[in-house]
Amino acid sequence: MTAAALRHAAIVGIGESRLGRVPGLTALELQREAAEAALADAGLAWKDVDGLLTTPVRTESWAMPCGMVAQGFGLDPRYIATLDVAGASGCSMVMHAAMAVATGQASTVLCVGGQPLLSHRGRDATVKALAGAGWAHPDLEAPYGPLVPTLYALVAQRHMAEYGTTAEQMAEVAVAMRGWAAMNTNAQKREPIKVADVLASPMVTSPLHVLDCALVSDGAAAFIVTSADRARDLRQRPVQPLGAGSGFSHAYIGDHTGITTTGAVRSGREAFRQAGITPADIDVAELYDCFTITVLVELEDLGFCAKGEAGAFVQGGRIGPGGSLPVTTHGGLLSAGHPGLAGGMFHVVEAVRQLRGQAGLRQVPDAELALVHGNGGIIGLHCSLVLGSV
Amino acid sequence: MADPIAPLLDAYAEDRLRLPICEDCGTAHLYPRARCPHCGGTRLAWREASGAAELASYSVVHRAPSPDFAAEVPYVVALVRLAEGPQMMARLVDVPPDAMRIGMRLALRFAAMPGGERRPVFAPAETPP
Repeated sequence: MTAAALRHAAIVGIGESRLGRVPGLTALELQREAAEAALADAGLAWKDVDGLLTTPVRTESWAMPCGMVAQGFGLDPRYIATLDVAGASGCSMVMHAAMAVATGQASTVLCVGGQPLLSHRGRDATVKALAGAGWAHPDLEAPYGPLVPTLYALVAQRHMAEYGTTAEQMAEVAVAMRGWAAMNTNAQKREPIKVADVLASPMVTSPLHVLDCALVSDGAAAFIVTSADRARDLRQRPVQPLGAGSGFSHAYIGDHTGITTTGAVRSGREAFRQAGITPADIDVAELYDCFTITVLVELEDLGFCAKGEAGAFVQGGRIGPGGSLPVTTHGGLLSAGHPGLAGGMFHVVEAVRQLRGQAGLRQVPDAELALVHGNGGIIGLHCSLVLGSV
Repeated sequence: MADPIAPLLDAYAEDRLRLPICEDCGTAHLYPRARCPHCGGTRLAWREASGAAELASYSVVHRAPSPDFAAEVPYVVALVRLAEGPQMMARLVDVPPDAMRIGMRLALRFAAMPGGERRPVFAPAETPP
């Protein structure tokens, strides 16, 4: 896809459901909250939606998520798909919705996802269920007993050995996310934390403590993509995709040598190339933060700093409130919430909010260019977006 | 098409680590594929690994992913780089926590995992004389 084609599309509506512990709601009910918020935000009605993208959920027995959501909402879409690039799905939805609009398959695409991941089974049972859900190779990895966090811990331990990255530096990421979340009334965890709190939290799988790991949450997010022409007549200042790229390096972490470098190198390079900018031009970076180490590796692979230097880069609050590179300004998966595959959709929603100047207390002054990055699987699937306000 | 992993698992059941080696380019690879990931060759021969390896990374797991593992925590999940080149996941055994070092030399053993599977595990290599 060329950058010119991408610019036929714009994000015109964003919405979040309640996020955190929201008991008693089904996935469809949470998604309806988010979708209705996004439609109201855009000044659009359900009848205006002729395209649908959604993601799989774990909390319902849905054989065909896009069919279940379309039926549940009473939609009549001419473009419909379930998209699954694991944690990169949020960013990838923007790319695919833009392609659908650019090629005339739809005029207005509702992207929506989410589920009651926390209320469904609770945090600990969900973490255990994920360990057996295929993220580890069923024959060559799962018999050894890794949690999903263990698979990322292997990256963290290697990064520490290769580059001298410290537990304190990783903890800085968690502290920064909590600092942003304190200003996000929809965030699940808002009480401030310090580096010492992260290091004192229980060790899950070394070197990752509980506070180095994403939350488990109930919640849903939505955004609406339509043509740039139509966007001009709608309620909000449009936000356009200026560049997009995907990257893949591996499905299973054990199958990937050189685990401290990822497919984010390729996805980021392509997104920046299409947008005609460099990382230095970015005002706000909404980076996928399933674990603290994930953010460090992304900062390096996307080119915000050199390989091996992210630990030092994040020190002194550089990516938190008031820092020189604001990162994941809603508080991310570490502090705002993580309802599964829809978790990365909140990063897109936040980027749009920042580019419109609607982020309230956590607004980055004069934010005009945002980088949004989604990471999926065991740091093997990537999608990067450059977004800009029009 | 035959499952490319089957020969590896069959060897595990006999406490043997065998690697697919491409007869065209001579390179060993893991995880097993139907074609050599380096040159695309389809003539793969399975050869016995030396058992020598070095530690590529590790994590001490403190929370069991299932009741099967509850009696074992804490245990060490590792990535090891075999002398032949390929990488694999394994357990690191018989090493005190303060002796674990990425890059340390390891030797192959076999052990039963909590689920009953026989799998390669690695222990520190004996210091050469």
